[in-house]
Amino acid sequence: MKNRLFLYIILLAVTACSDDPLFLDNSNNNAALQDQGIYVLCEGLFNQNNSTLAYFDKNSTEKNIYYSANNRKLGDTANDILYYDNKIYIAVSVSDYVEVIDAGSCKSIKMIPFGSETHSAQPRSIAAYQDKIYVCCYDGTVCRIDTAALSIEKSIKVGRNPDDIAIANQKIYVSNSGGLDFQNPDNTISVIDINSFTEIKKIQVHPNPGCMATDSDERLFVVSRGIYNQQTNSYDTRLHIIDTDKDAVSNTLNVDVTNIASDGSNIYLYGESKNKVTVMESATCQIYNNSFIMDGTQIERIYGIDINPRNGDVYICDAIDYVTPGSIFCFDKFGYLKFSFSNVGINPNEVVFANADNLNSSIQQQPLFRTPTAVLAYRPAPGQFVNEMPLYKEGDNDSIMRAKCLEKLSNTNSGYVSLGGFGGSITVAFVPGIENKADDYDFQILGNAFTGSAEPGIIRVSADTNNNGIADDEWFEIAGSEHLAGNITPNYTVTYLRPETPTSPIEWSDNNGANGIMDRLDSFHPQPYYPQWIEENSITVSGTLIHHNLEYVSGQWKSYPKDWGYADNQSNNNEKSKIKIEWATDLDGNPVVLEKIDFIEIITAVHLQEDLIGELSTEISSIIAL
Amino acid sequence: MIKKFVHIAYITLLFCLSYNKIQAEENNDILTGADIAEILVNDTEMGIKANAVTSSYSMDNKKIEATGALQVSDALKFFSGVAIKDYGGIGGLKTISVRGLGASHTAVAYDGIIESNMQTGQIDLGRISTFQVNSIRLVNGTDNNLLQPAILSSSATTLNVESSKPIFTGNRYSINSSLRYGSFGTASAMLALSNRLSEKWASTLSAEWNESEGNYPYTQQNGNMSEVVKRENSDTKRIKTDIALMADNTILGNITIRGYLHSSQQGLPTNILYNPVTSERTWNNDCFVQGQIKKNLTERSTLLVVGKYSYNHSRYLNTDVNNSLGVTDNKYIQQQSYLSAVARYNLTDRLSASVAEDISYSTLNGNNFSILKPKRTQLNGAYRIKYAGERVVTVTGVNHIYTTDIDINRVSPFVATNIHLFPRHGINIRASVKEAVRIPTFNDLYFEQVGRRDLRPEKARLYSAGMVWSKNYRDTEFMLYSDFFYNDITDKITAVPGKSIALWMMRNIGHTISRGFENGTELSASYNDFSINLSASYTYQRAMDKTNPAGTTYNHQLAYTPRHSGSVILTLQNKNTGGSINNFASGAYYSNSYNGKEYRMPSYSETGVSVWHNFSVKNSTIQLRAEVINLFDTRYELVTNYPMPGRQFRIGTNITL
Repeated sequence: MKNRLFLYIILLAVTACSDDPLFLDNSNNNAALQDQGIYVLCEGLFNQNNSTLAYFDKNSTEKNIYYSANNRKLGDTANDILYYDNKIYIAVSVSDYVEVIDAGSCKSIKMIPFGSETHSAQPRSIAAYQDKIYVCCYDGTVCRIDTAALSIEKSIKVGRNPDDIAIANQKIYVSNSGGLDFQNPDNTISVIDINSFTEIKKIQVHPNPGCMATDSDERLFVVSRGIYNQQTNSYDTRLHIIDTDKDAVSNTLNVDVTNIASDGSNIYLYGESKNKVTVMESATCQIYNNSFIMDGTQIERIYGIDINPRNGDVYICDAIDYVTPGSIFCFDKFGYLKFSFSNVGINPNEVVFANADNLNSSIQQQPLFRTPTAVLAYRPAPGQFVNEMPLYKEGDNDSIMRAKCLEKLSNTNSGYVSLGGFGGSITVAFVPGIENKADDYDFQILGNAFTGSAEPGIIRVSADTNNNGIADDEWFEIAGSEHLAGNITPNYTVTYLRPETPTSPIEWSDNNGANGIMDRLDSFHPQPYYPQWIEENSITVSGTLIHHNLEYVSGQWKSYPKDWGYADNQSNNNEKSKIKIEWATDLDGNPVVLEKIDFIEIITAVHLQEDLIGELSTEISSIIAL
Repeated sequence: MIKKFVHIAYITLLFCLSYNKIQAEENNDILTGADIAEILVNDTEMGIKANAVTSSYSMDNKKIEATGALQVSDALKFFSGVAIKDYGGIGGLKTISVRGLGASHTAVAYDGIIESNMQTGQIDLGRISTFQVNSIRLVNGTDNNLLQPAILSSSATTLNVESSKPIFTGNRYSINSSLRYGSFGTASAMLALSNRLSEKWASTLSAEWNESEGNYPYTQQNGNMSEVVKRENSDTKRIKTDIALMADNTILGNITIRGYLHSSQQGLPTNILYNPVTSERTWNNDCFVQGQIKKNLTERSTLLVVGKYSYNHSRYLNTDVNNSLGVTDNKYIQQQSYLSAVARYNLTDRLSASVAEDISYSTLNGNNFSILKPKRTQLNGAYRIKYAGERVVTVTGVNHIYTTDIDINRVSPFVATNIHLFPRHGINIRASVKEAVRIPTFNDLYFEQVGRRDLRPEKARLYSAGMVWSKNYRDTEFMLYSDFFYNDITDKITAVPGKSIALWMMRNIGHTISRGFENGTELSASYNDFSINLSASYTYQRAMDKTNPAGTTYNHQLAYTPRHSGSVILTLQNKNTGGSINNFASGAYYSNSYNGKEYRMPSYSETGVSVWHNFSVKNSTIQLRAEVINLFDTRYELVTNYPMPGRQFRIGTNITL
């Protein structure tokens, strides 16, 4: 009895100890910032006066730099921040003013009041152009502020509840969300001429337009959230692309999107699943990266994306649960995490970069991963993406096409290189070479594979043993899962014939006596499928064929991946898309030991096509040394 | 403002003094029926508490007065285990959370009949005035009294506000009136007129009026800028009228019927830095009619029937809104009809059982609920057995709840016992285990964009054990108590951010464990004309979020729940003069569910003092009193950004005829 009592007391004591609260791991990696300073604006919570501005650089972490510099609080619900000409402008929405601070010291230069004793204007978003600052307010106005006088010069009326403001093509665009009338939002974009500062047009869009972004071609991208559907508890969203010459909608995508950011040539977007970022090429609206984050970093709730204009690093704000303090994550342009800061403040919504206006190229940061230094050969077989990825222009020759390939392979978000059907290939060089790390992955081919759409390619490696920079040394083939299982046919040879007219289907024949026609999908890819820059009228390719089949599942053709060891096979965030140099074998299939490699060749290794999907062809977006 | 007050005061005084009193045959207080199956060591207030199967705290009207509380919420903060959420100031919304459970787990009853709000699940305790309140009693779990409607048996905590029964000291009429005037333009006038209609019947008519400008100064601290600002848009106006008819020992037994009307209006002040706009107001109009009949059918059986109809209209207006109307004007109408029947049967002289069945029908009309107009029919059942021996009292049973609008059909058991362990030393020990459920409210289920129809009820498993040591000797009573509690709450209905910050959803995803202990003492002694009464308590509460072990707030203390809190009330009276001093102290707490140091709110303590003197004039008593609330001008916020008022003064008078 006594023992039991003692036990209970111990149990109680033990359980009492295990109730210690855990605090957010402050993985502060200031050194990783190198010479870049960043400011993070944290919105705080409505009616708690707890908006904060944080600053990080390699020497310091200041969670509340506005308060430290000015000895007073920023206010309630700061919605937007802008870095312009060495000043930082902050729209503090519920406190109804715009704060102007000196970027270096963060000391307040001016507090510009909005609204009145009885009316809150709610300044929401800020944009700048040529010494003027433009602020859109939730009460339906846009105000112009001179950057010298720092007071409201003029104010015009636009639509209801303007949410975001952007400047493109000498005009100001404002998204009139009408969001405060829940079931009856607004559906227009106001176009304002900058010089006269008058509204010249309203563009009709999907209801409830919000976040906007522009690319370097002055295209305007607008997210429209639609009317909230009570039955499904969701929004019906659209992404509009607006031509700022015509001031009209040029394209509307039916995608799940909440917010977007632009780096000039790509649009990064996230939707209702709040922890996945999709990347889309702004010129073509091609979504080529369904999941930007490559290394499995978990984000609870993305609340903002900002791109560092100097080096393409992508900063993501994580609001966690909108109530407890959030974090920011910095990824390199490949989607690998560089560093993070946690417990930054409640609802971090935007990151701005010190000296963002004045790009200083000497402070280029090295990305974590290396990409090829040269494309030595680009010999695609015919295919539906050939001449498109990369784009062939009349007059391009082999050297220009190889340069275009190199540009595509230099980061994961500038599109793909298509190798065409069976036997098409690309050869790249890495200077310096890639070391063979014992028992670890050495490099990775990034493709466009996702579940049900694998298009495996064979990988071959070579070391520059004669040190001449030319890929004339012995080649070794990476033996993947199918090699080991014997599901391959070596030295399979196919000949493709140049078609009679550039856009006719292509005939092929192989070394088994089989022949066929490569179908075209004219509605999707109307361009010629035969590489247009080569002289030859036929292409003969020879290599390992992987035995593969498509499966018809739920009304679609699916191409399931092989286990490991091939390009464009497993998806990019799957470990099995990574390659080890020790898998290299010689022509007889015996493993070889290579200390390092300098050249990599990728060859499409399947020979299949089907209705609606066309032929299978290996596409790659990059090759990275790990 | 003052003119109005003086006018009313004058009329009341005139009315009281000019009345003729008629001698009555008997001197009768109207008493409610006694519970015959319980053997008590002594039947004083303290004795009842010592034998209660679960811990309970109460304040009689003298103690309520000693705290200076004009509203029930002001008195509750002195109770053990209670954390008040006060949205600042004179008229702000006030709710209580007992032992970390949350406001919706406390059932509030007025004379044993439930007050209910299907829309929010919370009762604003700032709206219940202390005038004509005889006692406030908080029971943590199971009550010794089996003759109670089922719905009271099923909640985790019950707060019973008992109204004063008229006391006729030899006359047919009795009048009680009260006037108060204090800082920030606070004034109230209250009058209760009781009439002995016949041998068995009596009536009480009461009316109250109070108004406050609420423009208390507070310091807006902003870095090294510190500005004293006056609270704006913080005014409150309230009127209430109440008529009750009661009878004892009629053919139908003891009957009470009450009609009640309450109308209030208040501004909702804000404290946004740099933005002075304050544009929100609310109006509340409530009325109800309730009645109860209690009859001893046979020597062994008693029947209690309770009925109530209530109607509530509330309006929220905000005139600074940037939508196309320029305003937000929300109106809600709630109606509820309620009927309860409880039958108690004494099987032996130690064993009794009761069966209670309640049915209620509630509706809500509002202009921002999803398509349906919410309606709910709810059935509550309570089946209890009590054994009351010489040294043991045990109550056990099951509660059942069933609702029609959502699929709930649940049986929750409970058992509680009190053992008079060492009778000579006055030591009792008690223990109880109970499951209580909290049903999703109309707001939880249907509120525009936030409600979810698939919510399950919140479940609380409550365990407690404790000890009471009580002693009395001649005119001195002394009690010391210590209770340990452990509450495990699962399926907490929490507002969780959904697809965007504007889109929150109610979901069953919380898990909280709240444990702690409540210790306290009560002492009352009198010697000749001198009497002293002391209550002191200390509560330790560790209420932790246990929802997600990998989450950022795991094991963090719940927001607004201090770990340590305590209170002291000391009252001294000598013949006709008396004074009291009260103090409430709270340790540090966090304003965010993440206990980062930025969110730590400092500890505070508030002290109040009051003095009074009673004059006898013929057969009536006039009391003059003066109070200082928050004597040391402590500035604190119970809810972030809702500053509490500093020092206040109040003078008043009570006249009883």
